[in-house]
Amino acid sequence: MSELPLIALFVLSLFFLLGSGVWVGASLLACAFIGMELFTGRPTGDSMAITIWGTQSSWTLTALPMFIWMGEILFRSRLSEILFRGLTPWLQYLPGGLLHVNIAGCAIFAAISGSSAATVATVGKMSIPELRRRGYPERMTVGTLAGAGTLGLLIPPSIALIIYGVTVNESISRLFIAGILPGIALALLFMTYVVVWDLVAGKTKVDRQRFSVRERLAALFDLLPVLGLILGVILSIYSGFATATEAAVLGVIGSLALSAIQRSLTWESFRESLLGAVRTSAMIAFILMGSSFLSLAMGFTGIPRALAEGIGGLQLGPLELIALLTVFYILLGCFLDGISSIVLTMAVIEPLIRQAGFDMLWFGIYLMLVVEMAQITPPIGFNLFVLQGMTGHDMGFIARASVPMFLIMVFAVVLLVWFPEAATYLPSIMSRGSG
Amino acid sequence: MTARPAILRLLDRLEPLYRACGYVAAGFLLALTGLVLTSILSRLAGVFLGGVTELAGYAMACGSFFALSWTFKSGGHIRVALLVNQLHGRRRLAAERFCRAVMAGVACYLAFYMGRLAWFSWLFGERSEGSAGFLLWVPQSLATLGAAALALAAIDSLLRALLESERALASPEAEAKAIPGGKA
Repeated sequence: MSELPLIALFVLSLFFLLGSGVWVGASLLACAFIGMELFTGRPTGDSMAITIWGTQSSWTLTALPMFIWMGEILFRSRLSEILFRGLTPWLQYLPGGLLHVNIAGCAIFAAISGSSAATVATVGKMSIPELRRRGYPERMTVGTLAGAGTLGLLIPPSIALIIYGVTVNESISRLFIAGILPGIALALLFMTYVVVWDLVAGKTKVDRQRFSVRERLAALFDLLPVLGLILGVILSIYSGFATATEAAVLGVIGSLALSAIQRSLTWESFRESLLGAVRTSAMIAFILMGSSFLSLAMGFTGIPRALAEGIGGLQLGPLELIALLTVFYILLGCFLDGISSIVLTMAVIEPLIRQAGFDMLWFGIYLMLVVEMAQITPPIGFNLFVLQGMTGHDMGFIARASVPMFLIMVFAVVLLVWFPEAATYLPSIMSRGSG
Repeated sequence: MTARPAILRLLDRLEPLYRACGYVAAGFLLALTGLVLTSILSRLAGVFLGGVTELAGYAMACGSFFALSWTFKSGGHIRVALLVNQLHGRRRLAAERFCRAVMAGVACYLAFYMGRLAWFSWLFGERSEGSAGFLLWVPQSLATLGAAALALAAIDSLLRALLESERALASPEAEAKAIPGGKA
């Protein structure tokens, strides 16, 4: 245990760098540098360059910028309007009325965008003013939006799942397919909550618009291209016709076509979507550069192995371990954003998870759920920031409005532990050979 | 402090460079799209094109490196804002200088060793592992250019924090509360 002071120094340097506000990517790189210098005689800089080059030029990772671009294109299209108009005539009759549009809209947008903040922003852009105008309680509008927005991480395509897959070497396609059922189940849980809430509190006795059958069908017709795009992307992955990257490129082409049909595709919007994708991808790439080098350094420190042995020695059952990890991730989520907490923790606990015998596909889905919870816990919750910007409410109000959604997600974790097949069934029957 | 120091006026002239790097990165993203499309179409046509996936990986890597500097200067990289936002006045400035100094150090280190990687690949004529066997120094030196631009941007940013603190604190990269995909 003579290395204990060195390990303490290494871990403290990480906390200090991150906490002092150094950019996350730079913090991870600097901390990995310290780790390499302390624990190994290998040439630090050369190891860094070769590791970073290897991760950044990997074929698996190419799905990331493509799916980001697809989301950027659709974000700039008239999609939020079409979603709202298409879903309203169908969902307003449920108890809770248009609050369901928030949830269903988020679920649909989540299926074309990989980011939960973008999901909240796109759906909220249209639904917040409309729901306000019709007198829905603000707390429910904000709460359902914050909760359902997190579906962006779970329902494929998901940026966070790609990053998890690249980090632990799991197939992106299979992870995507694994996320479908839990994602739909979570959306249904949110909707059930709204129904129950309405039946108990009964506060949404707001006047409904009348729609003729023709209008309802026309609304559905407007939704068809979007639903077609979603099904096309998911089925091409599921059938093994396309890898995740190829499906993403098909999605980009489809999104461009969709915007063109809507007449929202201009040279300006094309350029902006492209540059937006470049910026978001670069932000993530910088974090991944840091985390790939940090994973290497972590290996030399022996911390992950010691942790796996230490926790293994405690003889915890899988349930206790998951409960422990859930609390840990929620706490971590108070300080770090989703992507950073995924890459940072997987560098440390991957051996632990493998040794405990968890299915890595299942764990990926579990991880999305707990990271989603972190997106709506203050003080650092990106969905909260987005909603703060959009509604003008203070953080406390939005966080309180999200509490029921948070509890539902805790319940979803319990369900996922109870029925692991929700995540593992679809991938187990999908066609082989689809990487 | 009458006229702005010459070095700052020189730095102002560099701003278009970072934006240009962003456009180069956008070009690489388009190239990546084209390559993946080629691979799909060639497979449908029953033709085997070796090396397309490797080229796609290189296009992405070069694009990522080129995008780093512009993303940094426009406040796109994320940082933990919790503590920094609590600080004001001289302490805030000191924290900002520290962060930018670390960033500059890391970026220079990265650029140097990426350059060294490309140089060794060139020296030993290293080729990629696939059947196509591309010369690795070509994409690696492009990535080095992107890393060098980030180093320049980080030094630029540090100098501004040292020389004109008030304006530096108002610059985009000082904005600590970036939202991934939010503005996107």
